[in-house]
Formats: sequence, C-alpha cells, structure tokens
Amino acid sequence: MSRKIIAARAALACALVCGAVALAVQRGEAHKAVTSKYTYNDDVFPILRDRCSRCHVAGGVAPMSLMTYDEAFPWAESIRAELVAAHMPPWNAEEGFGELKSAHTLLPKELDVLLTWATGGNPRGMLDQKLPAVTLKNDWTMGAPDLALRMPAEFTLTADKMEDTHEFTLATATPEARWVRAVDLLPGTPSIVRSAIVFVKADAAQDAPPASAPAPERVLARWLPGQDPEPIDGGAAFRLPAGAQLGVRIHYKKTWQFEGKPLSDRSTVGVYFAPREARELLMLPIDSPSAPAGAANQTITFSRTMTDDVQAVALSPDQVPANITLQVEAVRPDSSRAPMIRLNTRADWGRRYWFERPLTLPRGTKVEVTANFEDPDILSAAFGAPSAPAAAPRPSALRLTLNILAPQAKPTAP
Amino acid sequence: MAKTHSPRPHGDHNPQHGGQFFMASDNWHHLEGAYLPTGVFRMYLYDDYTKPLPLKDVRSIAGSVVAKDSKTSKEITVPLVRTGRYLQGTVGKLPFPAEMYAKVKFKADAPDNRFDFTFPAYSKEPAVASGPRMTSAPPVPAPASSPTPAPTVAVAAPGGAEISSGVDPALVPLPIPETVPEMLAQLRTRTDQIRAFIDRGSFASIYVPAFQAKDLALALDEHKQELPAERRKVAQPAITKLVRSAYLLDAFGDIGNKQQIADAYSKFVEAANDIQSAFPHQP
Repeated sequence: MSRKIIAARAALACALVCGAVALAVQRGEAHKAVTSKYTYNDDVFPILRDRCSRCHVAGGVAPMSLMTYDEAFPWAESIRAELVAAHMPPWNAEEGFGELKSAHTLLPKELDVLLTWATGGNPRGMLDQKLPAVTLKNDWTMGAPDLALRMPAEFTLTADKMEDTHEFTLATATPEARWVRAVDLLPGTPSIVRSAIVFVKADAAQDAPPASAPAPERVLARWLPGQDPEPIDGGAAFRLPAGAQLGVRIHYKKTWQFEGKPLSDRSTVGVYFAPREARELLMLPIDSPSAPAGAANQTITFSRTMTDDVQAVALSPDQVPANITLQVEAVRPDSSRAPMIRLNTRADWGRRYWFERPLTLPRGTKVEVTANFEDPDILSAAFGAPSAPAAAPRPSALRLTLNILAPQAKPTAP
Repeated sequence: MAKTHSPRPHGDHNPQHGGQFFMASDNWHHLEGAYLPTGVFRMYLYDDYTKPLPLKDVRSIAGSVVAKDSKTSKEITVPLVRTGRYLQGTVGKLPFPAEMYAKVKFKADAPDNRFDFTFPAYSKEPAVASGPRMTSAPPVPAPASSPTPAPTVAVAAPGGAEISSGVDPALVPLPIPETVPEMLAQLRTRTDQIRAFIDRGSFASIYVPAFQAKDLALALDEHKQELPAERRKVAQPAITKLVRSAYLLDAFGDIGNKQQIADAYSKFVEAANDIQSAFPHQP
C-alpha cells in the first residue's frame, strides 16, 4: 500500500471521527428535544402566512419576519408568550362578548398548532421542502381610492429617535360636501408607520395644538397596520364638508433593526366616497367623571343615556390608558342587558370596533361602561420582565366614542 | 429506557432535594424549596439547566419566606439568609400541609417573584444524591424498564374508568372519547382535577389535566358545526379561551405563583362552563 493511500485513509478516518464527535456534541448540548407533532413547513408556516404576514414579513412593521423557518424559530419563546397572553394577533376585544366585524383572531386549532410548535422543540419539517416566498404587500386593499392625498412632505424619523408622532394637514379641495364610506392609509415606508388617525380639521383658528388628541367627533379613521379599512354599509357614511382639510396624525416607530438609522416616510391617505347621499354617522362621546389616579384593582362605572332611538354601529376607546379592562353593555329600558364589547386596552393598538350589525338602542337605553384598572397584562405578570413600555400618564377622565346612525327624519303627516 | 431528563434548558424540572421545584418568571432562574424537620425552609437555586448557581450568583439573590404562625394565625416573614449555596430561614414547625410562600428578588432592581409552597410533609433528601430523578408524581407513567420502578398503571378505559394503581388518575392521559357527552364528562373531570392540584399545591402537575382538557376542547371543536348558529358563537370563543388558559396554567404551574394560577384557572373554568352550555349533553 503506497504512502499516499495510507495518508489518504488516515485523513478520511480522522475526518469521520471529528465529524462524529462534532455531531455528538451538537446532539448532546444544543439540540432541544422535539415533542411537537407539528412542523414549521407543514403546519406553522401556512398559519403565519395567512394570519401574520401583513406585519411579520421582511420590510413590515413588526420587529421580525416569521416567513421562513430561520427567521421564526429564534422567536419561538416570544411567540408562545404573545399568544398565551392574547397579545397577538393584536385584537384586544374578547371573543364571545358582543359581536364584532373583522375580528383578527386565531382559530382554536391554529392557536394550538402554534403553541405546540413553539413549546415543543420547533421542528422544521423536511429539509428539502421549498416554501413559497412571502413578500410585503403594500397596496390599497379596497382598490384605488376615489381621492388619494399624499402627505405634503416627507417626514424623517431621525437617527437619534426611536419613535415620534407627526401631524400633517391635507386639503381635500372638494367643491361640495361628500359622503365618506371608508378611509385608508398607504404607508410610504411600512416598517415605521405604526398607527394613524385621520380626522376632519376644524377651521385653522380652532385647531387644537398637535400634542392633544383630535376631537373624537371628527375622527374618520383609526388606521393600524394589518387591518383593512371597514367600508361602512347600510347606507351610512361620514360627512365631509366642502373644502374640508384632513388632519393625519401618524405615529412612527422604529424596530430594533433600524436603531441609530434615519428613516423617512411619505404616506398617502385614500378616501372612498359613497355613491349617493347617505345617512350620517354621528359620534356620541361617553365620558367618565374622572379616572382613578393610582393603584390597580379599582373599578369605575359610567354611562350615557340615549335621548332618542338610535342605532349604534361602532365604538372606539378614544381616551383610555393602556392595560385596563373595559366592558360596555347596553342596558335597555326594560333592564335587559346586551353585551357590546369587552377589551383589554393596549398602547399602540387603539382602533374603532365595528359591530357585526347595527345595535338598536331605544330611547332611555343606558350605555354602561365598566373600567377595571387591574393590570390585565398577563405577559408581564406571567413571564417577568415588563414587556410593555412605561405606561403613559393616565388621562384625567376616560372617553369612549359611540358611532351612531343619525335618527331618520320622522314621516310627516300628509 | 425511558428518559426523564435530557441536557437542555428546562429539560429537568425535577426537585433535587426532595422539595418543590419552580421556574422563575425570567425563564432562567429555577429554585427548589425544601421544608426540613428542623422547621427550616431552605431554597436551592439553579440555572436553566438545573445546575446549582455559582456562589457569586447566589450572593446577588435576596428573599424572604412568609408562613402563617400556627398559634396566632398571623403571617410571619422570615428573611432568607445565604448559607453556602442556598438560602434559608427558620419558620418553625407548622401543621401539615404546611403552606408558605417565598418572595425572591433575582436582581436588586427587579420585582419580587412569588413562589407558593404547600408541603404535605417534611422534605427528605433522596437516597441517590446524583443524577436526575423522577418527580414525586410522574406525569406519564414510566415503562417497566425505567431505572426507577414506577407503579403499574392499567390502561384506562375510555370515559375515565378506574385506574388500578397508586398513580393519581389526573396524571394519566386518556384517549379522547368518541361522543360529545363523553367528551363533556371527561372535560368536567379534568376541570375538577386541576382544581384539586391547585388546592394541594401540586402546581407542577397541573399541565397534565390542563392539556388533556385542551385536547378534549379541540375534539369538541370538530363537532361545533353540528350546533345551531347561536351556540356556535358561544362554543368557538370558549374553546379558544380554554386552549389559551391551558397553556397559561402550564406556564403558571412552572412558576408556582398560586394567585396567578388561580386567576388562570378562573378563566379556564369560565371557558369550560361556556363549552358545557354550548354543547348538548345527550346524544
């Protein structure tokens, strides 16, 4: 046997031994035991793609993409915590209490698949299985709007800031009053556009300073990433006065990937008009006398009584602190109670909730709100470190806004 | 040979000194509380591989134990003092089951973690001092070839028949029954079993009946199309809530805070009751 062959065999044997040792070490130290019968490729990916890809995709607003195995599995523990705490998907209303449109929730089986995978060793599935690439979708989900209004200038979230809020003013230049059935926002840089409020501005002299919240009676839309605009049906719409100006207050927020980098955005607001004259959608604020200033475990109840027969179509918690539980019920004159909504408020996720169908509230009905200041942030409670940013100061009073259909004109006697 | 342990994070949540074992809410620290015949409460500290913490790390941990004085019924708080690699304090001899809780700060600026202990008897060091051991109540019975002989468990009949061994029936997985009324009956049993574990402080075992209940709820989910629309509206959110609550009970069971477990259990019960009301009990 030649020296070359002996040397080659020795090298091969050495490589095999080294490989075996390396594998053994990997198995012993690094590999998490797999108990999940669900794999990323076969079971988890389809759910994440269908339910989470609007944000958790490269270029999306979420801090991480979950659209490939390599991107998702390091976040398995966070996925578990967010799902168990019901923080994700970000739909804060409790299912089964009231009936709401477009609930962004998971089916029980989907929840179980994700949790089993996240806690059970995060198996990938077949290594040679190719999954379809998922890319960011940033388009008008209702089709091209009737009126597209681009922000007048770019806004730059500077390198030294992680988040900021900026208010833009847009001229609609509509020569006559129009009826608005939906408003949407198309982010210029989706990764930093975290939320937006679109509202009708009063004339310039009456405008509130940018730091305060816009008057709820003028809010046309509360935009959140991953949430489609809700076109108003039933012949109802918001009234947009002739020549109105729109205020657009955008909350920008960077994720950790962009820390220390400047990012600019120039978003566009899309307005969808109703084809004909509509029944006006009015806002009815429900205010608390005052909110408790301090500790947890405090409950306050406040209400507003309907002075006419009305139909309620939506409700938005406009001025509420994060991490409280709100329960809203309609107490009719015959004392029967109808559940409207129960939700845990969370910073950054304020939205308008649309009822599945208009709720008839006869005159004398009391819309009763119970606010519980017990911290419902299960994530923090269960898993230690505070997950939420430091709470903003509590408002001195709470405000929810009920959207109602304007009473129809009573038929006149012939 | 059945493995009860593998070298991975959280791969061994078994007590090493005959006490009760919990995980801290930071998902990294682990601890074991032992109640000694001398009336001393002793806390052993571990990392996520259940390796004893090095001395320098133990030094930065502070805590106290709170027990109810058997004579005055008043709570007494005893600071935990470091002795070697563990912390301990004398709470005295309490009637059994002896209930106490520890408040522990893993960092000076961190919030207190609360761990609730219920000792049915004084803790005893196991005879074999090294290597992983079975928990006092194994969640799944070990096969006959296990190094620690486990009690033999008869294969349970569907519907929750009697278990012919010393193993708590709550710890024995059962097949999912075929009919809705049987599923509902088993769900009620599992709900009660969780309550019993909470009452006697066996937090680490809660996940077994909780996950069995979760699987029952998912099986019921496949029958929800048989329900009228109004009942489906009740059933689906309730099933989702029960699935989430089961995982929450699992997480809280590891952490060992009785109040959190009780809160999660009340959500679980709400969900279970809604499921019971949504589905017909007669075939």
